Amino acid sequence: MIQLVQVTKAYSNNVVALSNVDLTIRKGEFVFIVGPSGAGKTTLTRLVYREEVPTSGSVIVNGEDVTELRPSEVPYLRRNIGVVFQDFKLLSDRNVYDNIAFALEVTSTPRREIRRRVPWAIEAVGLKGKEQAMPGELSGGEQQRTALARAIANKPVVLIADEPTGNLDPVTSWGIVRLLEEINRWGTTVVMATHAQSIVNSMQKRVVAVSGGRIIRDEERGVYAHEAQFVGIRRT
Amino acid sequence: MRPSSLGYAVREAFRSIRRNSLMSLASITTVGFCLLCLCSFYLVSANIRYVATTLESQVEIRVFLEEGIESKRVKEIEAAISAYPEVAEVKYIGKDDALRRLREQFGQYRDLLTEIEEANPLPLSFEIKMKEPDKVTDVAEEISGLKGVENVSYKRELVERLFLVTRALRLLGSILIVGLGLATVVLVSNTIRLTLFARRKEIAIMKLVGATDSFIRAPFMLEGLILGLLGAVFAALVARGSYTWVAVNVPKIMPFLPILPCKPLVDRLSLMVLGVGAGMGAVGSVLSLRRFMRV
Repeated sequence: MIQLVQVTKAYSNNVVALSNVDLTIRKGEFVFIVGPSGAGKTTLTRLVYREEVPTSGSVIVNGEDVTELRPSEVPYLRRNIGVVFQDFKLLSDRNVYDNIAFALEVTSTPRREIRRRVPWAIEAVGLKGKEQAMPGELSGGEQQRTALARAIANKPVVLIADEPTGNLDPVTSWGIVRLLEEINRWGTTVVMATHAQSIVNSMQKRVVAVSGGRIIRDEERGVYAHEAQFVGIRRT
Repeated sequence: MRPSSLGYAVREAFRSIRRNSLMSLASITTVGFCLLCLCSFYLVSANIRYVATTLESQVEIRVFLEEGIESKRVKEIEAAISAYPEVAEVKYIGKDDALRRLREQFGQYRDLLTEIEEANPLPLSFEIKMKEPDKVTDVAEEISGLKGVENVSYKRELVERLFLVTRALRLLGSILIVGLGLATVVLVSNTIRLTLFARRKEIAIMKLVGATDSFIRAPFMLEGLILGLLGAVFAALVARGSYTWVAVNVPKIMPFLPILPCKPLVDRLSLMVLGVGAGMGAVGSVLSLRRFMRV
């Protein structure tokens, strides 16, 4: 489903975010990407939905090398990939329903389909009854659920969550992770970059540890960290 | 583009014009005034050209005779003029004819002429129509040498000067069109930039969920086009109104001044202005999109 082959990403200021990374994620997997800030987790996820293009190497998503996509083809890749972030990225002037419908509307989904899918997504994330609420009136957890509903409304094959619990308290965080697990159970591949040790340790999922732009550990049923093994970003 | 996408673009374009109503209004009025300047230039130069061509089509020589000339000499002069092969027609204008003509030209102000009616000071004259208008200078020259001829006047010079004026106006107009056009484009592009800035979060989300670039751009393009078009509508309405007034009232005040009739002119002008306005608006928003939204 997702394959990184000898991927190196260097920024113009000589910061190497990733160097020679090889990673294969199979369809339907649930993978945690862990590591300290600046280790390259976010860069790794951004490569998948082609917010970034690697300096060298290839990124294969759904059988297609996304590094070779023309700019006009990128939107169609993204319709198959749902993304959620730490800061939710909701539109504050639209209610829950319209925030989700917006994502479908701008990808030219037929109106009939929008009317069917938005309530489905809202129900799936447990926000039934909150359709008319504005983001400002929601708790952090509810806002992230709205963002999740938006991400899954397109029925993506891959869901990328970049520190989705970074702004949430532990109890609310667990709610979000349970939801991700549920979405994964439907067959969606879930990649979650996170700092949340306790969640990673108790979930017993595959753990890919990144440090200094390299994969230092990749374990099925892994834990967050065996010891203090991480080093910061490498500068050349 | 699918109909639903078009509907989306139209909705969003009007929504952001409403949201930025003050800035939108500012750019619509400025675009309007720029285009109004263009309209006035166009109308003025079209009329000067009209005057020039009207005059050219009636190029003629007026030969004024000396005061107190003998009628025998008048006949001789007429014969001499008729002998020129370039001359088509010679018409004698007596003192009474001259006064009647002057009255006609003065129209409603003919009362002003009562002073001179008693002792008519107008000279005898000939009106000469030319077969070959370009020979007018030579013929006029020779006639002015005849004995008993006081003065020869012909409109060639005036016509040439008028054509010079229209050329200058047209050049000035072109410079103005380029300058004002640039101003229009910059204004619209600034307005669109504000919209882009206000909606950058929305644009980021659209890109994230896989909206195509053309879908993202469409509302902004449309917004620029609408701003330009509204400015053009303003300019066209004002220009039409004023010119209609001019075309009705100027002939009353100055009946001797030929004025282009209103009808085909203002329609052509309106179409032109609407096209230019919409085009410049669209160009302005494209510039903004290219500079501030790299998608």
